[in-house]
Amino acid sequence: MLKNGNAETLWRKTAGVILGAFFLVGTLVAPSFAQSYPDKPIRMVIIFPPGGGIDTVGRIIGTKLSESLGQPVVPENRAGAGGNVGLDFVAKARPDGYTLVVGSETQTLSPGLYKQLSYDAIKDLEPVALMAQVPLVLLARPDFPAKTLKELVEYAKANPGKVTYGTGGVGSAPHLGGELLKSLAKIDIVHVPYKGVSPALVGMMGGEVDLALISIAASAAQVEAGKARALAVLGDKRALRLPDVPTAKEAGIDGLVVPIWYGMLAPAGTPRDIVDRLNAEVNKITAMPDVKESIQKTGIELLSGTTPDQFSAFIKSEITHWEKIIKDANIPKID
Amino acid sequence: MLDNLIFGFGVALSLQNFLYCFVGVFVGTLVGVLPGISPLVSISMLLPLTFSLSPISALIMLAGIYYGAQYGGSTTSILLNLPGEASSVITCMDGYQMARDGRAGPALAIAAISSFFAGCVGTLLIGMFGPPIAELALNFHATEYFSLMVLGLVAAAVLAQGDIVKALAMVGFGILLGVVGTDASSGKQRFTFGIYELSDGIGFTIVAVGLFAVAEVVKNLESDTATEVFTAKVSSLMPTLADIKASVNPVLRGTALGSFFGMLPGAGPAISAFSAYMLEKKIARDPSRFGRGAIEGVASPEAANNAHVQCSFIPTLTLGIPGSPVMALMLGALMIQGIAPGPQVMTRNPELFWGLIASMWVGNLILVVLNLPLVGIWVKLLKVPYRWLFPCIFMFICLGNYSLNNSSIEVYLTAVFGLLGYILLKLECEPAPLILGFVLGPMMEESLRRAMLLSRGDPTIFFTRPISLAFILITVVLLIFVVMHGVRKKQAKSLTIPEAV
Repeated sequence: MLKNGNAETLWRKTAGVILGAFFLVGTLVAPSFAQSYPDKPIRMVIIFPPGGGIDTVGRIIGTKLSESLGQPVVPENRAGAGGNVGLDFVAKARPDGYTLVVGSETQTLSPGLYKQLSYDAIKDLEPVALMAQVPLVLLARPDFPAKTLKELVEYAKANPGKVTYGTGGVGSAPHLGGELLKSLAKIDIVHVPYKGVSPALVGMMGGEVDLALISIAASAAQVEAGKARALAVLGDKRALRLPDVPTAKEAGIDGLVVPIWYGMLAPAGTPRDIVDRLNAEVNKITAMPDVKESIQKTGIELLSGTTPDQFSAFIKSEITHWEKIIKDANIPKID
Repeated sequence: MLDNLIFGFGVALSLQNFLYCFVGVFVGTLVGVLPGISPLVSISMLLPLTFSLSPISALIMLAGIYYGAQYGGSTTSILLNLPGEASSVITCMDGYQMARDGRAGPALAIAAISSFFAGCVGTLLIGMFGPPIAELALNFHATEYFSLMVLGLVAAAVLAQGDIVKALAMVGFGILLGVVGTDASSGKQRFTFGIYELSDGIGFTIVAVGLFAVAEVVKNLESDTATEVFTAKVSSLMPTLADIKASVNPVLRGTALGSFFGMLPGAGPAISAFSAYMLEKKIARDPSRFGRGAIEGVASPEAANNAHVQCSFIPTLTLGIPGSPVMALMLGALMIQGIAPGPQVMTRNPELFWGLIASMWVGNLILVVLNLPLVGIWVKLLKVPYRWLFPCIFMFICLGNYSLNNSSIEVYLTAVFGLLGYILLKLECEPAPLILGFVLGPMMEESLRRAMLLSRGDPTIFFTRPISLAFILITVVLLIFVVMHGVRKKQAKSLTIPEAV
């Protein structure tokens, strides 16, 4: 009885090995992944904790992507080190199209900011599609004497070292934007870092700091209610949510542009046909009227139609752009 | 004001909203009881489902999950010494001891009742004073927060029982642990040893679960005798009249403290629960009962915690600024619904504001009705032999801490803190001061550095701003009081000795 049982398991094991080898060879020689892709759930890493704009956008697009791919797209928050924990994780994941990441400008400003990064921002990640941009707004407390960007520059020049600006943290895009403002306008204002965007906004509304650099999604409601004054949008064009606020260029400072973006990437080496397929699906989703409408109410602006190559070129030029800003503004590197 | 609340109840008690409120608190209770899922994760998973609901129904349900989870979290704290939320660490200290004495029933019931009471007060406070309070809270700058923290730490040190040196060492150790991560002012890494996952600091849940729950299990397993961890005899399921009498004042004080801290956007519920516990221990006639199953040690922090959670909706709703990641998620949900959460939400969407506030009261009532009958079932859980119970506890701990950030480092760290907790138990060092230092230390440092940055290095700022000055004065008075008290005791002793002779 026992012998019989052993023989049986042995037979089963052998059969299993043969079968397994057969499948292994089958996958190795398979001409294209895309025909069967995806045949299992996809992991979509979000590089910030739940609750922020990138998480919301990632989850909405993930839900729609599940529908169009016919496999669940499971959002997974891996936060830390300003987003670099998640990017590092995906940079080292298997490039089979089953691990994706919703990344941000973290990827393009980190190479210039950190003495060393554990992944290569260009070589280790395959751009899939640029999904959204988030206008960054320069805010002032309502009772602050300067009512426009021009007045701010004059006021800061008259009171060097007196004006303070708050951001969500050291090394964030808003912080670098503030340093860019300092070097472009040749003014001396003091950076006051907070632990997060909300405390920075509270600090500005309560008059602890004079200015704050905060994304539109987190501050538009306060601007609309008159609890904060928007001096300028640090983008190429005006923001959809606050159309009356001028761009920095219109307000007198050319080159004060801080692009904050969300995009989908995959580990480098992900088959091109999978990347193209995902690019097409994501572009379809970001163009859907209902998705567009609900996301743009927050102030985040969806982008649609970028190819992986355009996105890749964008990342490369952004990295150079940031490296120059960090060098010009003399921002110390973080180790 | 009353009209507004009545209007709100009209919204909250519509059949549809009542149902979503029920679903919310029910899911929340489950989420709180199962340490494997945090409210943050469950709300973010449910978020896409709410897009098809009306904004008020969505908000009522999500809020229900949030405070329902706080509620459920105290259940595991009492039964298994397993704090699911930062704020329920305190409930562990006496709640779990009550459970071991066979008084899990009264502990759970008192937790439920005091939470309900605090929830009611919180709801009323938001309804009556919400907006002006929020404006007032904006006057709390880094200076005020720092002075408040000093007061907190001094009070904790003064009130500490037993070995003061050990308590101070634990506070210091906690502060050091809290320092781990990226320095907010310079971006420099501190004590991260090149581990990326440590760059945002060590999670509170990891430290708390490791020091309390894991260490407790290890300690229970060390005795090879067949004695069960929990007393077999279970006294009545419901609290006695004496229990309720003993809890009335602690609940009132806890509610007051929790409401105060809840209105400040910068303070977490753990601070409320901590200060409530410390206060009770100080004014108790016999402080040595604390940590050994004092019912006040459950009632007061539970009330404080729940009042805090309710009142933390004030900054969120009136300023449109989220006080925690969970609040940020809820505001995000509102934005997608096309409602700009912010100062105007009260005038532009009154049904939303008042409906939510009324629903919180309804939700709290549902929680009591839901939970009191469950007490009997939970107590039965303790009859499960410990050899079956502890692997389950470990499994849930691992699941829960993994899901915090989907990384295994968190699980390893929990094991490290479990070991540390066990060593501390052996050395008879209380983990509570460590937790306090861990929570307050980094906040104090951040406030101090920001205050100094803003005052250009001028320390007099702590005395020239009135609120800050008030806190400093209270601290000084507290210190003088303690010193005088000590001196008088000594004098009394030296006087009585000759008489006795």
